[in-house]
Amino acid sequence: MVETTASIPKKRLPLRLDRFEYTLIVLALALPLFFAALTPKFYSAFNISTVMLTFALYYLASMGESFVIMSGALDLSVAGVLSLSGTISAMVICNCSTIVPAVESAVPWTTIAEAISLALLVSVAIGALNAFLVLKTKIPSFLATLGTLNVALGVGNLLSPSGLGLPLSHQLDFLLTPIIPGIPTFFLWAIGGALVLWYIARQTSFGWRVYSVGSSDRSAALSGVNLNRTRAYVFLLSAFLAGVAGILYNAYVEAASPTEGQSLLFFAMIIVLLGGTSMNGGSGGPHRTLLGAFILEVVLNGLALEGIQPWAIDVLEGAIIIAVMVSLSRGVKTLVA
Amino acid sequence: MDTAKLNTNLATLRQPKNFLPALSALVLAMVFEVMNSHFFSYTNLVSLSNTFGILLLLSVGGTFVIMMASIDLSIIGIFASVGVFTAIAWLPPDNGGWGLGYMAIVIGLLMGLGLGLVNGLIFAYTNIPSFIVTIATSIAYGGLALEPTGGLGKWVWDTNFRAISINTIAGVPLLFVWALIVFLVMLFLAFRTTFGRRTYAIGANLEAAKRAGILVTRHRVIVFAICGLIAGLAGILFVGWGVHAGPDAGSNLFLPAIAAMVVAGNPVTGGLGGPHRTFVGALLLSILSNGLALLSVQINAQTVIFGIVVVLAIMATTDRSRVKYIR
Repeated sequence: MVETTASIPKKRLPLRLDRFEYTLIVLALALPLFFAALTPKFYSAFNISTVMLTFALYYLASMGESFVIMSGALDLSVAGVLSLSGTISAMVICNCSTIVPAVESAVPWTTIAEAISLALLVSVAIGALNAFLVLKTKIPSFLATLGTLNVALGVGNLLSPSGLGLPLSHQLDFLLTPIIPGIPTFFLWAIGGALVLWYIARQTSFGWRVYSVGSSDRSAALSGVNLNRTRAYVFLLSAFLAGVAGILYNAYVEAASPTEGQSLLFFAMIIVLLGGTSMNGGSGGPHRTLLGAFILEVVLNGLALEGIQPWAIDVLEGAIIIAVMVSLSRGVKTLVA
Repeated sequence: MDTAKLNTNLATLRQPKNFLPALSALVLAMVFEVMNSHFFSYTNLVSLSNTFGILLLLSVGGTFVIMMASIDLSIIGIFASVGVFTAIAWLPPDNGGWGLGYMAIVIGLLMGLGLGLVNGLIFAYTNIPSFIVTIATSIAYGGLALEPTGGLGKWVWDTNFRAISINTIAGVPLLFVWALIVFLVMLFLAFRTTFGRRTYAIGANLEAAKRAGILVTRHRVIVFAICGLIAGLAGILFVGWGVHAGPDAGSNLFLPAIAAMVVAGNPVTGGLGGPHRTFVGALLLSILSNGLALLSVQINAQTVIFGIVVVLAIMATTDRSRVKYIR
């Protein structure tokens, strides 16, 4: 290889939206109007806040996965990390191994800091395990993370007394201090997270490396990207963000439930794919995931308000996933075809 | 069988990876017998053979899918929805059913075949990775299982229906006999027919299989359909054994079923292994889950153990020579 001493220009991608993303935005604006035209229930204050909160939950659960799929891999363990992080932080805060009624007493901030850092540490450890399994033992990422998903879910259930939730009282409320009146702070976390992650994806060299690894690992390696390091960071980031989501979710419901993961199973992957980040890697990004999460929640909420049966919504969801995959991720080369 | 072939067979048997799973199944059974003397009691053996039968049925169809280097994650969705619809078709109209008698079982089997066919058609004609297709369809099939009962499920106490699972032949429950028959058919299919050879060929080298004139698309559809049919049969027999048909049936069986396919040496990279390995894998896992239950190990601890088993098994069997980085 030729030694280059000339300064390499900083690699950045434009903070611009493309045509596909404008289409998604139009869809995201049109769908609420459509459902609002069908039923006035849709734009009641209560339903609007429900949509905002559920959308925020969807986005927080899937924001880290965007980077994994951009890099051409998959992380199915998000739901497990999310519920394990929630369970661990709640256990440290209430200092309980059995069910106790929520205590109103103030908890010293050191305990809360301890709880949050322990939960994030465990999350990152699972991310490191994922990275190890995928990069060192070279097993397909969806199978490696399917294993860690179940390990994390099982451990979360084992830690919770008799598999039930752990109650919190206002110890984590500081995370959700109202900033803008009328808009839940939980929702603002999702928007803020999306902006930060969009910046990371498009304006930092890390983001550039993730895109390049996803689009062609060979040319990325030739242009000096450390493939394994980039991929490892991606798994760590995904697990870290899932851990953050678990703590925020605790603050939002004021309890930790190990079964939360079960209801969100595979949701992270589905939302990222629905947002239009291709399984081929190298395209899309966290901003598309934001739009995907919003559109999914509006559709699910609107259909439920229309009285569509849950089973029909499930069938429709499966069909939509396949339709999106057909249009965006055809012919993905995976080892397990 | 000529001597050369016999010798190679004996030689492969000498490699630890080929007899280790069967050996560990035996050792595990001994350990559980020592720790809890009820392990080899008749009651427990019946319970074990039922678990084993269901696990074998769930994983033996999926083995063919794995042999051609794909994976079917929707087996539990098919299992649960076929169980619910068969129960509804069997139950008399005054109990919210259709009262079709034994036709219900035919309908259930056809439904399993149909759902598998849907998987196969989507996968073979769109070239989306099979695990994405089957995750999506398993959401849809889970929805189908909700439909007829609104999510509550149905109880089927009718002894005529239950007979197909719980009647015994010389002390052996019928459920296990059915599983064994299906297993033997699949074993024959894998090793004594061109169909089996084609399945291996697609898994071993897709491009070579195409060049050799194998109709890959059609073959994939058929294999997924067979997998759905057998998963549906498992769903029907499970209702007969467990009395209840509900949308959450088998949610504890997903991980063990995947583990049973891979634990005894069926690489997810395809082209190797076969139903005989799944037999050993299913035996190992049903002994493990039965023994852990006898020792009152929590179901959540079992989830952790099965998760680790799946990862370790795939780690040990994946063919890494194929690609540098595995997506």
